[in-house]
Amino acid sequence: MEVQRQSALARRALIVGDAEQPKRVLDCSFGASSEGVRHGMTLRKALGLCPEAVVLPPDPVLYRARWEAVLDALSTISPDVEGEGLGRAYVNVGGLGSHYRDDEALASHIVEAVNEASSLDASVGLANGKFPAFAAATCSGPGESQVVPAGSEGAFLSSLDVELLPVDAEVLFRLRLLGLDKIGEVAALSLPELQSQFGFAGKRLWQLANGIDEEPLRPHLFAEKVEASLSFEAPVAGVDVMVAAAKQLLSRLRLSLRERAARELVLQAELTSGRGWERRLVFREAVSENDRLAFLLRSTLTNFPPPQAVRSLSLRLSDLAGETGKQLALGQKGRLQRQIEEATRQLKVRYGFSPIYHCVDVEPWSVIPEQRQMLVESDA
Amino acid sequence: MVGNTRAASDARRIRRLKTPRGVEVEAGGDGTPLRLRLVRAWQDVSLVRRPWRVDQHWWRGEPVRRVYYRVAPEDGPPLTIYHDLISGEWFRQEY
Repeated sequence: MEVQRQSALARRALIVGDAEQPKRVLDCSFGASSEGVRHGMTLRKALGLCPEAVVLPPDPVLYRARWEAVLDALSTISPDVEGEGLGRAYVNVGGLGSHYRDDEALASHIVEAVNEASSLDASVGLANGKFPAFAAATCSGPGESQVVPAGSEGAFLSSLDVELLPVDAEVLFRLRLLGLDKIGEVAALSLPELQSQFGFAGKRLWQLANGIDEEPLRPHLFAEKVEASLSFEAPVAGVDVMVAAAKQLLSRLRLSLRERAARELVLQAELTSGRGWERRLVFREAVSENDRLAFLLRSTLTNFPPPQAVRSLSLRLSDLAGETGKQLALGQKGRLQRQIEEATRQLKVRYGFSPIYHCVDVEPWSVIPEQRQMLVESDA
Repeated sequence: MVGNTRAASDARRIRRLKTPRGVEVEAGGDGTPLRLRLVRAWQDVSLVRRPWRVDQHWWRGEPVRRVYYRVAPEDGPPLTIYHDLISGEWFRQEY
């Protein structure tokens, strides 16, 4: 995507760096990966391995838009599509064999569909199970596909590096310590041997190494969403203006929300550099209250403001749900609050102190449990 | 009339959650808890996950050095205890 945007970068090693601290590698070009750069590595380490690489900030808005287009295109081939993060999707093509000349024709169709939807060249792997399919896709070049015939998954995987195995980093580290670098070397060990070394993870390791992946495909849910956007006449840098604009977007969405609650909020902006900025909030409970959503927008923009002035702002509420519990939150909030205050006053008169407390976060991230929250007397 | 502004603040007004409570523990040679006194009786315990260590505030004057254990008594639900490596005492705490 970055090369499509700036063709001059086509011959350079590219690293897309995470915007969060510490900065990590989100993705890299083939040139950078051949120098040892890997996803998740710190940028400092990546640049040490590949000092000539060009580091680009991520454009989550563009990536998400393209990725959703890819998932939509895949869902026209089969309704069972699992999107496992940006750039990796699994499609259940069981039962589609009769629609295509052979497996290669099906794989080519997937490559074409992805290219048509996103102008990206996908690597496609066709196999029984998610891991063999992933490994086959990894071995394919951009715009190419590889088919692993049923029953030969173990033989196909045997020459591949253990790094491909979707297991914990600790398990991979121990495999290396044991001198097991190829998946075939792991497959040569018996199930009891692997279980004695890795415990519960040993069975999954044995299955994966032998090309057996029983993990079911978790279909991507195409959730209903409502969205609104607005463009500024001139780029806006002030947080207060952005908050006011976000609230305006929220009020526009109230109608289309039709009293439903949202479980996800995505705030996107187009920066003056032309790149996108995005913050995504997922709620534990669906939120419908306007005040609560407005508070969340303000907090997001205050704590994580866009790095540059913005040209436009858009707000999306998705994963819409019914209004479970809304009546209590809206209709009875005032009365409930008054009852608690009255009860607190009575208890304080009766006992000389208030036995009702509210919980306040102090250091919720602390590894020392007693430092995370305090109880404060409710009228303190 | 004005209240006594020099009066000590009431500790009840603000207090910590998940405050550790002392517990009697018998540990093996490697420090792993073997028995625990719950209510009145001693009970054998077994580890339900690997111990984890917390080393914090060593940069301040009051370092915290603990080894946490998630243990399951013979009779009762699992609980979390820790060994304070500075005082040598054992505590029970919700984690």
